[in-house]
Amino acid sequence: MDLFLIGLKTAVEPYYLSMAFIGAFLGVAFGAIPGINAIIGVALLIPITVSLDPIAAFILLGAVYTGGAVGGAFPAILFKIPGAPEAAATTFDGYPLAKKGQASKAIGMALFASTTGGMFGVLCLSFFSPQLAKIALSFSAQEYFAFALLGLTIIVSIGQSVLKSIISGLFGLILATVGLDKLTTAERFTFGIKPIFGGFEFVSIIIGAFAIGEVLERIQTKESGAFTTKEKVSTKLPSLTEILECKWTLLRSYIIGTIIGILPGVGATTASFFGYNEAVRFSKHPEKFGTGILEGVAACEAADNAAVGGALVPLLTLGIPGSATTAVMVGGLLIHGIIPGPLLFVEQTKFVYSFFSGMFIAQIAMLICGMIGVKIFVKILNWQYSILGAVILVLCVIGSYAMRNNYFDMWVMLAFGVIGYYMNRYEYPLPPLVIGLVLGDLVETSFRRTLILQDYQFFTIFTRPVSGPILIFAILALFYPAFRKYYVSKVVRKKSQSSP
Amino acid sequence: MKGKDKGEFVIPIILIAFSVFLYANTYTFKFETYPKAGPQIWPRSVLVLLILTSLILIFKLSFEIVEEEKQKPKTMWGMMLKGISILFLYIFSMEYLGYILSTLSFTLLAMLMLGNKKKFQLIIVPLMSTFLVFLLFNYGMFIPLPKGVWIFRTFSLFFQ
Repeated sequence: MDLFLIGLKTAVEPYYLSMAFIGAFLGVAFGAIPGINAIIGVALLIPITVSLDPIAAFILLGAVYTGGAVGGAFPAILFKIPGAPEAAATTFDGYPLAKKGQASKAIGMALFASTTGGMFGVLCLSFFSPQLAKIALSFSAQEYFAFALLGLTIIVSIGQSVLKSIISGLFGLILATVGLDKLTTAERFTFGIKPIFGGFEFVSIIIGAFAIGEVLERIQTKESGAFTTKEKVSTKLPSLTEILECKWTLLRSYIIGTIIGILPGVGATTASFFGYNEAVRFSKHPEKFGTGILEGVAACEAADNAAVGGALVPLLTLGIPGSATTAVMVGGLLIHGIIPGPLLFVEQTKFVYSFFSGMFIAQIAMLICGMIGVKIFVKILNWQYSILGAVILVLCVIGSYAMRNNYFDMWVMLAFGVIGYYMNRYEYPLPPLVIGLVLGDLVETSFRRTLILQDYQFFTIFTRPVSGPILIFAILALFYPAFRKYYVSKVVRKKSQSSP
Repeated sequence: MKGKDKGEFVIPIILIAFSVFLYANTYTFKFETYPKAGPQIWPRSVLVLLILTSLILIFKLSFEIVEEEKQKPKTMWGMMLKGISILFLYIFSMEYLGYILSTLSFTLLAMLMLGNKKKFQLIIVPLMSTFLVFLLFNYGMFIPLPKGVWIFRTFSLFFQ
């Protein structure tokens, strides 16, 4: 408790408070613009955080992450176009509400559910992470290998084709091997190019693959990306009666979102669908779902944002990202010399607890920014992509240069922009590439250490009390896409049956 | 193969060639410790998996029936090349022209390429974005941006 109070004292300082507000505002804006999401937002902002202190930098990135989760709901409600994949389920009831002229109420409920869901997720993060980190301190290479492998199973749950996702992840794993080997200092795949002796600049690859690839796609399709609405949009927060009517739905979605967020690979999109489906299942009037009711918006938005806090648990305690955005956030930690994992809770206590408090404040900031800024966000949606795209390109180029003041990184970024474009075009998802890149070092080092420690008898790893079950769970997680396909189609089928 | 986007086959074929090349390169790694868990073991395992998955994908694509509505729109190569070219020119020219001049011209070109024809926006957006980013990095974050060479360097220093 004392540590939490120390963290809170730091997080309420005007400097850190402003970071939470700036991050929340930018996050909502990134989430609101279709084609730009929290991942691109975090990637673009990492270079800007170089000059900030680690606490401020991570509060900013965390606030962008949490803000991005709610921003996606705005176009989902107003135009039936989810700004982010996790807002897809919000269209079910959000858009019908907008058609009834109640867009402001739908946005208000989305903001309320997201804020409270986010707070619940952060409280769970603050409570469970230190306990988990304590256990993780006793882990050795075998356990780390098992957890890293479990983290890699996220790859199969992203994208339409499992095979393409695996290829993308393997490509990321190979990229992670470039540079000097950590155990033997042998040069690997450097071909004498000095700037890559320490490996590729992680941020340049992310910026190139995500942001440049997206702009190139837009250039190619000449898509304007502008959306307009005639309705005057504002935020109408739900009344106490409306909140009480949804109380069990909200609580259920908070718990679902947090648990799903903690599980590597499952993510916010599934959390929101899961939250929505369970709300329908437990409802006394399931036929009303899909016709435009506030409970439908509350169910998915609460789960969606609760998953944010959950996804940060494995990242901070084990160094294994729980989602694609947290994988990108690792870049933000590494540039400040902070290595996520259980030691963080011993060596960087102030950082950890200030971040927890900062994330809690970011939820409130998100609510305020969403309420005040809704008109601005709708205006941003009206911007021509020719302006937005040009500015994004400048930020990409300068951002990758700023990481090490190195021209070479800009060329790396351009190369990965082209690679990212082709991957997008042929439906190779990009998050597995980032996850492979992030986890590559940990999985390789722990694998080789395991081999050495176990005297090259690799399969004895299954007999250890922690690594054995985790590896079995990792194998089971490989079947998750089949389960998800069945589950989502079931939700959509139910929803289409209940719609008039 | 009729009706299929042949581009679908390009990525796995390139990946196989790339993996074979890298696999061969792993024999050049120099190390003395841990011969059985050396620096080559992990990349080789990943590369073998990459080759296998790419082969399976090629096999799967060869037998897949593509529905007409699922076929992708054709790539507009001209637009794509223009996009990549101006980015290439921007990065290349920044070292010589410096940040300000190269960014001003790049933003203008990028907006024109993205289809903006509004004169007011074409003037104001490059100016605003160039100077805002300059202020943010140079004064906000104390990260010096490229100044260029010769006369262009003098021009850049004028803004410091």
